[in-house]
Amino acid sequence: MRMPDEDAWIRQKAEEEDGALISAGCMMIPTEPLPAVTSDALAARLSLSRFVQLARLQLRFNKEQFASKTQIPLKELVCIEDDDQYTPTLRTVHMLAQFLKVSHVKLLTLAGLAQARDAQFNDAAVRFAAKSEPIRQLTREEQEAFDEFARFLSAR
Amino acid sequence: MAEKRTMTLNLNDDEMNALDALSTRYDMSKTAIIRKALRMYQMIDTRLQRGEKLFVEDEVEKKKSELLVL
Amino acid sequence: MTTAPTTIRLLDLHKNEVIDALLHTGLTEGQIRTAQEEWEPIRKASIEKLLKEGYPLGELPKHWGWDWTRKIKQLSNPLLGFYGIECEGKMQGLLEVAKEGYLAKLPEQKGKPLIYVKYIETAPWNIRLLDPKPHYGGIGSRLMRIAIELSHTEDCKGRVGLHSLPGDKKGEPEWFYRDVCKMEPMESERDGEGLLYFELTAEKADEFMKGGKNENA
Repeated sequence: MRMPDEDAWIRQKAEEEDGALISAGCMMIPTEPLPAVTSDALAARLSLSRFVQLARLQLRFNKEQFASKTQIPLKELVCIEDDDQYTPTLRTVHMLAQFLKVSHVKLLTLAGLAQARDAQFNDAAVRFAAKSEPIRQLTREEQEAFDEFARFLSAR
Repeated sequence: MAEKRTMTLNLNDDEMNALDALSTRYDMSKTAIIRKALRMYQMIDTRLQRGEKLFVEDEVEKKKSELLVL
Repeated sequence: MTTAPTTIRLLDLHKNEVIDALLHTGLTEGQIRTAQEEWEPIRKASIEKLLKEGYPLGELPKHWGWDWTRKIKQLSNPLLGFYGIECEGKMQGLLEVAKEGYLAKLPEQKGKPLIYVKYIETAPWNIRLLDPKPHYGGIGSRLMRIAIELSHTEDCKGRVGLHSLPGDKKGEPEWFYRDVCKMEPMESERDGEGLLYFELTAEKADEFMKGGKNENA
């Protein structure tokens, strides 16, 4: 195939494209092991898993019901709760924040999609991760830890 | 592009007919079909060497059967 | 498998000059890791910036969590192809394609093999949403050209398919594939995440490669 002048071609395409976003693929991150990340990021991510799971249990939903209520893909909810190295999509974080009535930005930070503003955020995430454990029924302590963290996330 | 080398391929009637049919169905040259087949075989071989297995699945019948490549 | 890089041409928007760049066919682990290290902080910082500026959360670009290092295990998979465009020592665009396993869905070419774009991304500093003065222009188009050329090499006649990330306004991915690349959207082939499927016919691939005035872009 005969190509036109390459310089003219790229100039024309650059003009048409005009710095557009061109991403194609999938929104979900493939489930392969992540390389090592910082302990702050890990703790935050673990906190997200625990928070979502405890919120669901508190509302007495199974995963399917919760996914339906929050309008997020079931398989993504499973990954969020069961794989603390999984990074959720922006849309899913948005839907969760909206449903659970917590700060979008703070939930984005827990998910690893935004930078933590300060050490206080990281400390709160670590404390919650340390106090909570994924069991089927909430203990009083879990309930208190959950309520405390939920209040922190809700504060704008 | 990587340098290419030419080889002669001897096929019997059935094999040639199969190659012709695939070439026609997919609107591709016979060379391209052979390349695709080689690539698939290479991938399958790598996975089998790792101890993995190759299955085909019938979505309608919900049946999975193992396909062995020796 | 990697081969020696070849020289291609890119538009440096800052200098308004067409310059040489390198096309890498096959990528190394090192190249992937370096690109991810260079792109990720800027991607993530841009989320906060856009959010602070009041950008609607639902309209933020959806690929900010991408991690190309997850693909390192697949770099030697013979069924896949990995490509990178490098300029001034940095990766400006990355492309992953599947050479096998995908057949065309458009009626006029249904069942014929095509090259499927699995992932494609341009470096964040080339995106106008993030930087009002993007550095290099035409990266997306140049990556699509790579896919089309591969399609010809594989005797797929230029046919390419992909699932675009959301956004059909000017400057967003669906707009790019529909209006710049002239790909045909197929609502019936959205994937499990609801991403819209686009397919390039052999004829439109030829038109894209030839260039010429595009009235829709």
